[in-house]
Amino acid sequence: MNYNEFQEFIVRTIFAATNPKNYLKMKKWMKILAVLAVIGIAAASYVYVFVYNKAHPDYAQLEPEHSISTKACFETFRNNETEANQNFVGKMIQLSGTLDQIEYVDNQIIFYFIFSEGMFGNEGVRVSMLQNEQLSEITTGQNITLKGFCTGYNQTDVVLEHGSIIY
Amino acid sequence: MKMKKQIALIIIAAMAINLQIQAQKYITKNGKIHFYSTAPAEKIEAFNNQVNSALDISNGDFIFRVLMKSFQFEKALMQEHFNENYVESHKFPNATFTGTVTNLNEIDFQKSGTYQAKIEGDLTIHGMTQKISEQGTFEVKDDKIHGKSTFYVAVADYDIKIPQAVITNIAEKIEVNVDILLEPLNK
Repeated sequence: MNYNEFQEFIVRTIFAATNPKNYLKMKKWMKILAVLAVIGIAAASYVYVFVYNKAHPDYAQLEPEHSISTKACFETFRNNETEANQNFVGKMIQLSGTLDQIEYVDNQIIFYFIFSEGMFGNEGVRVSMLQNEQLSEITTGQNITLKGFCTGYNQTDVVLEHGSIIY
Repeated sequence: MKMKKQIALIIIAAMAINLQIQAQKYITKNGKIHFYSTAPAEKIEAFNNQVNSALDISNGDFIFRVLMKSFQFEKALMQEHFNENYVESHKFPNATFTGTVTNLNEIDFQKSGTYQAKIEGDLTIHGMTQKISEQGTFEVKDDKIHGKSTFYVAVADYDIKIPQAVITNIAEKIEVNVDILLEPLNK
């Protein structure tokens, strides 16, 4: 339908709607149009709320897809990064190990499991913890189990975010 | 006995040299990169607070390593599209910059102050490497170096394909803001 045809269609529709002879006939069409409009608005609202504005995952509630020690996690990335990327990156991972360092950066708390040294100093597994986690009783030297969302290996550390303590 | 003293002196000297070499290097693992795209249909921004960076003040060597999946977007859908469709972070998990500070002689890292820095090197995003030349500032204070820079990255230069349907949603050039607080490596 080109622009002129569309214009003609609109004029005819308005004329037909205002003609009393067509009133009953048009009422049926109006009902169909109203139903279609409601369906359209509902579909658009669904897409806007649940697709375009869909929420980030609730990381604290995500189930871990893998369970591994912090040392094994670090070594897996160091020895075969491609395979480790496929297995761990973009997934929630459960890790167990002895905590070596707690860093406070801005409003972030980072748990650091150290296994080596390189050009950036220490190397290991860094887990940036969720802000609402209760971490005050955790100290370095403690053996802990936690989970975190793995974002990859930057040739120095394996990085996990949205971390939370399991036990 | 004399021999033992000589060995001890050699070890102490070696440790002192090592410390001096380390003190030339400043690093961070919590650098911040923020990017911003303003297009007619949409504004998109993302933050990454896990950026690794190292600066060797003896020769100006300067590197960055950035995990693409660490960028946080306000909207989950944008984050998904960024990782899966645009930068393909499953194939190219890291962006890197390897370069040098070219005006090292104009910066006194032993003296507090703010200095203009000229930086040149190779920026690799999405597996594509481009030579870049940018400017920034180094603020030297309390044995720390606070580096800041704002520059623009053309999406097409890094083979990042934007589908025609969303071409008005993403800017051709993305504004990148870098903010790093570098500390001596031996600390």
